[in-house]
Amino acid sequence: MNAVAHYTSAFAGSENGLPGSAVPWLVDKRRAAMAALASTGFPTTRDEAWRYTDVAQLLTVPFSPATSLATARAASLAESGGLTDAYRLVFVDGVYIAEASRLAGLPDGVVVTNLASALGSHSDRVRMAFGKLVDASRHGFAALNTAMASDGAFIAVPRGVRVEKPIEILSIASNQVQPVSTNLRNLVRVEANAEATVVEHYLGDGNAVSLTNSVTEASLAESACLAHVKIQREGQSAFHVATIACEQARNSRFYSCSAAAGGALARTEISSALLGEGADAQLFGAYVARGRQLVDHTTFLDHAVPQCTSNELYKGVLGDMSRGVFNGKVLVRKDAQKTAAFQSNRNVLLSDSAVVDTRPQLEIYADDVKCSHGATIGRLDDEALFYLRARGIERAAAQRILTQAFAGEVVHSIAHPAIRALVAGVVDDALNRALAGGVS
Amino acid sequence: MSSITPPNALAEADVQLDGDYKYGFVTNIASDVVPPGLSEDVIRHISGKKGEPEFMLAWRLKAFQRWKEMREPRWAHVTYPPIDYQGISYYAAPKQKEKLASLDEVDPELLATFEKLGIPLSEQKLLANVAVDAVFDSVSVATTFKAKLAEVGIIFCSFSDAVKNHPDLVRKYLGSVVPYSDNFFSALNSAVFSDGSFVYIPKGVRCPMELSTYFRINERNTGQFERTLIVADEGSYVSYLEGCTAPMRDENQLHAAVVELVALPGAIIKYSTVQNWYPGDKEGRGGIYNFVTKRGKCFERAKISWTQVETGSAITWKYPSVILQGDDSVGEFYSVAVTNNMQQADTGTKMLHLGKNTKSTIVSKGISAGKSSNAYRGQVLINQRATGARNHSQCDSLLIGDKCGAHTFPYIDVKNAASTVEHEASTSKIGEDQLFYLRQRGLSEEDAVSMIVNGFCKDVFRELPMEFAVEAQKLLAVSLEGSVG
Repeated sequence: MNAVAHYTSAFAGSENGLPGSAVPWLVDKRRAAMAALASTGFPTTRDEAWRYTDVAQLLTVPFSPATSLATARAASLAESGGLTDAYRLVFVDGVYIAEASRLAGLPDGVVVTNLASALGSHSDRVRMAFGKLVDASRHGFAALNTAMASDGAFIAVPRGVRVEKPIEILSIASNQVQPVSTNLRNLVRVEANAEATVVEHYLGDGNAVSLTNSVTEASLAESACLAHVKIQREGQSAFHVATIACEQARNSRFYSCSAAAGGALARTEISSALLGEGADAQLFGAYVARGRQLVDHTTFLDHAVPQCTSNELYKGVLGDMSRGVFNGKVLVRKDAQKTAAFQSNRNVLLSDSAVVDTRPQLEIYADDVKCSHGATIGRLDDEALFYLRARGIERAAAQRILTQAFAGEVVHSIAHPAIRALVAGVVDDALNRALAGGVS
Repeated sequence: MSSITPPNALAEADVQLDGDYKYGFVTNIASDVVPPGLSEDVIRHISGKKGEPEFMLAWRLKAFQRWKEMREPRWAHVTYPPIDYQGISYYAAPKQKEKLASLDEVDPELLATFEKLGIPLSEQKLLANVAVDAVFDSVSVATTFKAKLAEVGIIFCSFSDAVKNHPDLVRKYLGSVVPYSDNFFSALNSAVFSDGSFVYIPKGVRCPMELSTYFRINERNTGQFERTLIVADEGSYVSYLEGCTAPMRDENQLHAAVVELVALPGAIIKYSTVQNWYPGDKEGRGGIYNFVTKRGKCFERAKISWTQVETGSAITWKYPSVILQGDDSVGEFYSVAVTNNMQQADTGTKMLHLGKNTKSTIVSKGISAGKSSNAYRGQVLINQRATGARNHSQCDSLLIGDKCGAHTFPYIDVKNAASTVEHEASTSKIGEDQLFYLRQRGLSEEDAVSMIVNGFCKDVFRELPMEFAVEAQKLLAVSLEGSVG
């Protein structure tokens, strides 16, 4: 059975159990998404945006939603792996675990809840946000998520409120025998002059084959500020596809950092539409891969109005036979004068069998702009290594120092100290494992 | 960039965007034209007309079979109405009674055409020391300097002559770099190509002069399908110049050329192009569709350098590439692409690093004005075996006016750790402060802009041979006449 047919029948079987099965607009939306998936299918390497990321293997696995849950284990994993001082929503295999979540002490008016509950308590706001920025036509995985979303986070920060503590969305792929799929749909709204930090944290418990297919839609009102950090450290057999889309009103600021260390195939798509003057988007990413991992970051910045700024820095360290992919596109629309957009992708290859495919793209229709992009691919600097070794530092340690410093530029862009420390730990662990595979 | 809005310079910019095409005229020479349409019979007719040996016809027919199975590529950042391939006449030759021994025997009207284009064949021998193989529509009518080149064993002739006189060389190298099945347009070219140039430089010979061919589309409704093959044997050197102008037309004319370069071990080929086909009028009517496949193959220690100045054509779809097959080989690509009015260009290069310690350099300068669209698309591939490979790419775009587009689509694929690849790109407009500085020193706005644009393109122009550098700067000035402020 091919993948589309498999998910069509899975959808038919589970439709009534999905949240919002009594909400007509959502039922329509899910069915339309399934129809879109049936007509266009999943992306292939013939699609320009998926040229280097072949999901054929992923599609041979018959993933289905989890049937049993290890709740107790999830709670302990959340405690040991998550942020200590943060509000937290925990999902295991796409199912919300209230017992493991921690939402006490939220500032007045701030809503942090799971999507299924929000459908009841904040139905209008969910209806407005769901599918506004990522619709089923984007690609097969977005369609699948729209149709099968089992739950997700609903976060709303009211006007002028600053949420000090990070809000963590912790998704755990448990060690199931059957290949399990997780379809999380997260909706974030930050009102005018409000500020929040959201962490999407993906953990794997063991090495089971799993599919995480998440979609996050974030909307920033005037002068709002959202810091979004995504940490992906699932197991070596996990497949991971994440789509993060943001829209920004005037003078809003969007900071995004994606740290990717786990998964057999992990694709993260991040986009922002700069729709109001003075909006600023800062996108950072650090990825470390080894073995036969494939890590893909695809970004899209849509400069639709004048006077917006954006900056991107993605850095990768690739060992063994791993593959790093970067597709970055900056679109400057016709009237978006005075745009300043910078994009950079830097890669270090540790082995002769590792591969990097990078495609930084500029598409510009305005003339009074400053845009640039750059990409580099190389190996660890021999002279820097020699310098360190000449000072009595052994080779392995020198390599660790150099790669940590390389990735450090991205890690240090994270403002919140606890999140920065967590990401630094994840990246350093991954670097140590990648370096253990040998450096040529 | 300063934040001051220019006084009215930019507002005036597009008003003046009408530098007329200075080479638009039609020569009336009775032509031997095949009726429009493409079939096996037409191909047999072309091949028969040219008196080709059997292997050429077989090759053409294979290409035609393959072409029929292929679909026209759609990935380029250009839009145009569908081309009716059955509405094109695939062969036109100026009526010719017999082989001409000297220039005096050439149709005087034809000679006058070349005069207007600024190719004084008669004087070139003395003045420019350039041998010109002038292709008028599809058949070579005059070839000069043959004797001088023959002395050192260099073969420089029309493709038809090469097929007749040097079939072994043609057979060995034709399609060895661009196979007929390579892409839609190269397959079409392989099936129907009318003529072109053939160059062979023997071992260790340094070609004593720049070789040059002027192409020209003349016959109404006649697509031009040129085929150029240059083979530089071990340790030889050749610099080849290609330039073109075309008369003003209302209908779009298809131009699908193929250029193949073979640089055997230690050889150096320098290929320079100034492309100035008719770009269409201000509303985008007419103009040439320029869908070209250019590729070179480098063996050990060989070097191929492409330099191009692209100012013409309604649509340019062109990626001069280098296959760096041999160890220590070098590929270079220097390009200036100018688009104005409704022109569209999707151009760039491919550097395929297969051998060890191979090096490539890409310098691309795109200038867009009017409502045009100018895209750089380039691929750098470093294969696993190509250790020690090195690439540096720089792609800069200059935007003139707020209705044009400039795009950069690099594809970088690296498959080993012992290589270094760098890509840089920037997009900006002419700095107000630069303009102000020059104007303050008494330069007119036009001169100031021309100076800045020439400076922007300097890295590419200095790669051009002397004769072309002058023409290129002239072309740039004409193409952008009055369009900048």
